[in-house]
Amino acid sequence: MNTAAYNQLLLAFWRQRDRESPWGRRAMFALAVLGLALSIYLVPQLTAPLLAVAAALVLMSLWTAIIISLMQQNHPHVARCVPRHLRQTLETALVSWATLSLACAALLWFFLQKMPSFELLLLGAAALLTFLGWALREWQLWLVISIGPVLFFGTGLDRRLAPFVAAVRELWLAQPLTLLGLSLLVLGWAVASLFGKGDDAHRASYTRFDRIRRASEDSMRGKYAGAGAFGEAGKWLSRPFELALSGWQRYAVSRAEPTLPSVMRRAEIVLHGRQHWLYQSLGIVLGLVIAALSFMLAFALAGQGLQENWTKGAYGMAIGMASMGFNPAFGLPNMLWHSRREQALLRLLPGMPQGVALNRAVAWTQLRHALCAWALTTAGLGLLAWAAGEAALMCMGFGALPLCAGWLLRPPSRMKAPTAWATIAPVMAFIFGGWGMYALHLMLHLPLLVLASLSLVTSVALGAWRWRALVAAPAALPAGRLA
Amino acid sequence: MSTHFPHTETPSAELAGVSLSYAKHGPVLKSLDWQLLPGQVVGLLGRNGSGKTTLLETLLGLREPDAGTVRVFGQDAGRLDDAARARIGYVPQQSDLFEGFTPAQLLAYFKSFYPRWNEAKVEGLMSRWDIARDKPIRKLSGGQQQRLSIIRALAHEPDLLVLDEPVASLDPVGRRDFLRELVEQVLDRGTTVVFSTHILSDLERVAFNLAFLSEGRIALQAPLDELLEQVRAFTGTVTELASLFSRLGAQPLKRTPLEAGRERVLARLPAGVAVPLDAQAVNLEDLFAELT
Repeated sequence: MNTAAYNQLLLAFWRQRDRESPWGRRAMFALAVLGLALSIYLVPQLTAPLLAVAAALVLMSLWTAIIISLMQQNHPHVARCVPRHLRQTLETALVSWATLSLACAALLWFFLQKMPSFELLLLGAAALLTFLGWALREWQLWLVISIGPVLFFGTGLDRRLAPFVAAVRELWLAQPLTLLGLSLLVLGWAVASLFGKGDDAHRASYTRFDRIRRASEDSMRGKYAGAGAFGEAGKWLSRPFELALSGWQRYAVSRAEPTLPSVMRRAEIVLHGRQHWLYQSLGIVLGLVIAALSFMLAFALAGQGLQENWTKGAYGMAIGMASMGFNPAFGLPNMLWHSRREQALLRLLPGMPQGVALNRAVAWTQLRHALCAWALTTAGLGLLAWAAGEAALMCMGFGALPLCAGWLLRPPSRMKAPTAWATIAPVMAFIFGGWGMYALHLMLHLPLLVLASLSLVTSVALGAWRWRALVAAPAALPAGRLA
Repeated sequence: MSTHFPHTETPSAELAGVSLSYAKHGPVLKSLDWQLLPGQVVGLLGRNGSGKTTLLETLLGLREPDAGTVRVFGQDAGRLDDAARARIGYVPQQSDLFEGFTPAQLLAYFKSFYPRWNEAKVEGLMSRWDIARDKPIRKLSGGQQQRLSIIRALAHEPDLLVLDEPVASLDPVGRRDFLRELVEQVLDRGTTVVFSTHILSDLERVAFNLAFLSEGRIALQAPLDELLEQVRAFTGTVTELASLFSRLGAQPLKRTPLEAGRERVLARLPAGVAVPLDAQAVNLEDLFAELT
């Protein structure tokens, strides 16, 4: 048996790992380890279960990395033209799946108390890994997981299927090993079905998988592929957005004047692309409508009143609202990087400001966008805080304001290619800022007015300092040319 | 002198002592001097990675040199006024730009910035080059994207046209059409054109001047017909060739040492000098290989 080929297949995910932001990943890893250590310190009696669950999560992440890599290697041309490639890919996937399922089940079985039988744990782990593999190829499965439980219980399917579930339970108790064996065979077949032999169906599924994979990688670098990555349904959903932006472009062009506001209004369409304020606003409105409908559906189907759950869910809703409102604005510098090639042409257009004027105009365009998003989101948080009677929710807004100045006002000419870390860093900073403010309010009993003032003073000082540096920097566009 | 190589005192673009380095790649341009005179058509030749794109971007003020000056229409290239920018057309190397726009949107967008816009020319080229007006640019083929980029650059009738490998994605028919358009542009309006390319046969059709970029400098710039007429390859001992060049007044351009004290030298003869019988004629490919 030629193990070298299997090694190449199995270890490809490690060899092809993203090496662009090692410090970001190390920081994330350190944070995860720190979180685990803190949990063990706070609850020492749960050391073994915590370590077991953490190890199981690591194994599941490993499976995710391996199966994505194997599916990527299963290119239709390779599957058809390279001898034994498909068979070796299948074998590698099945052996990885079996080993990791077994390891996850064993870890939980040995270290967690009050667990169901080992057979059931093994079946659960194997089913979970199989689902992960399929959900990485077909994104619609995540929707099933998101709304499936609500629909399942809300529509009473659990009650209707109770006799069937009872029959399966009886069968399991009578013949656990037979049922386990059959189930594992079906799951193994499902894992093997992830791979194709280079025919038309394989080409179609690979295209879908590759599109989503690339969109996901791009989004980690701050470039949003748009809903088109989700196939025809995505294109249909994004059509109103495209029409709105196209309408805005027609308006901006038809009212063109050789004035700075008019020029920057047109330039912004190119500079920010899919992060344009109109695109983002529509996205947020759509997100809010979907969230509202989901909550109403969930509460209605669960048979509970909205008001009763309002307070309990306020924190979750605030985090969702803040993420939706603040995070896209933090991605604006990344968009400058992604539109840098177009910026060479923009720089040569008559009317486009030059030198210091250009630096000011670009910075102000981004700052205005971020401050508007901040003001609207903070107002939304205020409404939520008022409705839930929990004023401390405003801390999220206070935590985000300094970032609007600190993160956005950087000289674009010196910016480096955005990495996953550069995309996540402002989000983490905002979360820590918000939590920090909340902790100050909770532990030191600092009034919210003091926290708001602190946030404002920090933001103004940071903004003034960054603005001076930014204005003195080389011409802002094309971005990243001096990196 | 050819009408396409008119003598004038005021260059369309002028680079003097320009040096530029990248932090990770070291120096790219080294004390480079270059002039583009009005109405000149200059083909910029250089090996891959020799800095052609950097040079063209520096010429347009899109990159700031570490040393030296760059002037376009007599103005500092980094601070061109609106009138000067309205006289420049640029086709960058990448044609997959503005992918979210349709061609119609792209052209309307650029039209809104320029004081002058030749709608008839745009319409004519759009029909002749068969470009769908309302199809997203990302769905156009590479050749169509490049054609659109060229139409955009020609639409405002620039006086200085800078093209960075403009025909790389075009098929032979597309290249022929583009070159015809370029020649018409020059004949009609006396536009100064500089373009980089690797397709030497295209240069023979339109580039009346050739500039060879080598080791960060313009190693040689001269009209193509003069180069083909005056540049010859000589083989002999070092002493023989030194004596020959001294007698003919020839300018050695490139020396390649051979065995036994002999060498092969590419040299440019002065105009009007009779070419020695043992000198080898060179073609454009030889010039590219030897001078870049």
